[in-house]
Amino acid sequence: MVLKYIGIFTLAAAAALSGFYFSNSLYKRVTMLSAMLLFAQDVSVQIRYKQADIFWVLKHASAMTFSKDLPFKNKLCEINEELNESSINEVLHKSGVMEDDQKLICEFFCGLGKSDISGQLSHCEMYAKLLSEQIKAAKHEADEKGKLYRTLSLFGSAAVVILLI
Amino acid sequence: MIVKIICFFYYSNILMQLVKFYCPLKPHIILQEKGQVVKQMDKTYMAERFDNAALGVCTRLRKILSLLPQDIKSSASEIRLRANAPLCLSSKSGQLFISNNSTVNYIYKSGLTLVTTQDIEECYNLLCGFSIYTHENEIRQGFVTLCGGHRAGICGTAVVKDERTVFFRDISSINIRIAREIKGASNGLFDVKNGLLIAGPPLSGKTTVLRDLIRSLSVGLLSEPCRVALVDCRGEIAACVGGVPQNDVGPCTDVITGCGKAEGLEMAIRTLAPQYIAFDEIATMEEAQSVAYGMHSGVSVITTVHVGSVEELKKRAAVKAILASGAIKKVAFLPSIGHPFSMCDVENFEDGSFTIKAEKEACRGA
Repeated sequence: MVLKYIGIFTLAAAAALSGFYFSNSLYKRVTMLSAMLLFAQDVSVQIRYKQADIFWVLKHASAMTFSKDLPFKNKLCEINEELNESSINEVLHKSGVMEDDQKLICEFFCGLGKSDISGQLSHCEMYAKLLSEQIKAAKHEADEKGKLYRTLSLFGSAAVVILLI
Repeated sequence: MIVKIICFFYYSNILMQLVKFYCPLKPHIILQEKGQVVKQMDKTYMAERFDNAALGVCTRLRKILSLLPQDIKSSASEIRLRANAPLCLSSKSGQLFISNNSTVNYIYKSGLTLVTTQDIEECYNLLCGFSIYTHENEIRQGFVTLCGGHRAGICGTAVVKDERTVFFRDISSINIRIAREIKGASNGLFDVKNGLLIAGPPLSGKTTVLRDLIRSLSVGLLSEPCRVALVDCRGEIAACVGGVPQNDVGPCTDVITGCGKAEGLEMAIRTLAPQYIAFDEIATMEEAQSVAYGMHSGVSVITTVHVGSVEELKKRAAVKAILASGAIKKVAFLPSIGHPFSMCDVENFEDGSFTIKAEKEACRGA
C-alpha cells in the first residue's frame, strides 16, 4: 500500500516537474538569446575600439559577465582557425542550442573577420536587430507555451493521482 | 711611481684616441670579420625564417615548402603565389619553380605545383589572421605585415571610392617577402650624426641595414647608447607583436607603429625626445617636410629610399627636398645584397641641384 502511494506520488511529481522543466527551458532560451545580443554588441564595440583580431575579440566577449548564460562560450574560445560553418555548428550543437537559434548564431559568427571595419560593424548591427526580433518571439513563446506547459503538467499530475488512487 | 703609472695610462689613452682617429675603419674590419662568422653560422636561422614566413601560406602549399632542402630555404628571399600559376620562390639565382614532390626547377615545365584561387583565398585569410578588418589600412596600401616582420604584397582588383583604393577583391597573387635580421649588416656605417640616407634598388637589403644600424646605435656599438625613435609604419623593422619587438632593435629604441610616417615623425619628436629618428622608405613630400622639421629639432634622421643608382637620387622630389633641407648629409648606396656599399657626401646644394661625392667604399657585414 505504501509502495503504491510512493509510486503515485513519484509519477505525479515527474509529470509536474516535466512541465516546469520545459517551461524553464523556454525562459533559458530567452536568457541565452539576450546574452547573445549583448555578446554581439560587445564584439562590435571591441572591433571599433581595439581593432584586435577576431579571436581576441571573442575571448574578451566570452570573459564578460553577460556571457555566463552562453553555453558555448568556452568551446568558442578554443577555435583558433577560421570561423567556418562546420566548426561553429559543431560547437553550437554540442552546447544544445535550438536549431532556429543555431542557424542565426552560426551565420553571425561565420561573417566575423571577413570584411573591413565598417562592414563588420554593419554585420554586428544587423545581427543585433535579428537577435532582438528572435528574443521578442522567444519571450512571447515562453510566456504562452510556458504557462501552458506548467498548467498541463499540474493537471496531468492531478489526473495521475485521481486515476491511480 | 704613482706619477709614472698615471702618465702611462694618460699617454696610452691618447695613443688609443690617435689610433681611433687615424684608422677609423679598423674596428669595423674586426666587426666585418665577426659579421662573416655570423653569416656562416646563420644558415639554419635563414631556413627557420623561411619556415616562419611560410606560416602565412595555406596548409597544402606549406607542406610542400616545408620539404624543400635547407639550402633553397636559406637562399630564398620571397615566396610567390599567383592564381593558376606555379608556386615560385625568388632567390639570388633567379626564379625557382616548385614541383609537387618539393623539387626545385629553374625552368617552367609541367608537373609544377599549381596555386589555385582557393589556395590564394585561404592564404589571404591566414595572412590577415582571419580578421581582415585589422589589416584594413595595410591592405589599402597593398600589403599585410605578418607576425615576424615578413611582408606580404597583395595583388587583386582594387575597390575604389572617392578616387582612392579602399580594398582589394578577387586576390590574384601574393608575394611574401622573408624578413631576416642580419646582425653586422651595417658594419662600416659609423658616421650617422649628420643624418644618413640608405639608398638602393629593391632587394638590396636597405631595411636589414637600417634595422642593424638602429640596433648598433641603441646598444651603443658606435658610441654610447643612444635614444632612437623608430617610426615603423609597415611593421617590417621591429615587427612588434603585442607591443614587443620581434626583431632586435636595441634596448634604447622606442617604436611607433601603425601610423603614417609624417604623423609618426611629429609624434616621436614631440614626445620621445630622440637623438636619432629612423624610418623606412621615404616617398612623399609630406614625409620630406616632416624630416626637415626633425632636423630643426636637433634630431639626426636615418631613412631609406628606393633608387636604382646615385643619379636617380637627384630625380626624386622627396629626396631632393630632404637633401635641400640639410637634414641628411650622407648617403650610403647599396648596389645589391652582398656587395659593398659606397658612402657619399652631399655637397653644394644650390637651386635644386647638388653633387654627391663618393667618399669611400665600405664593406658590409652580411
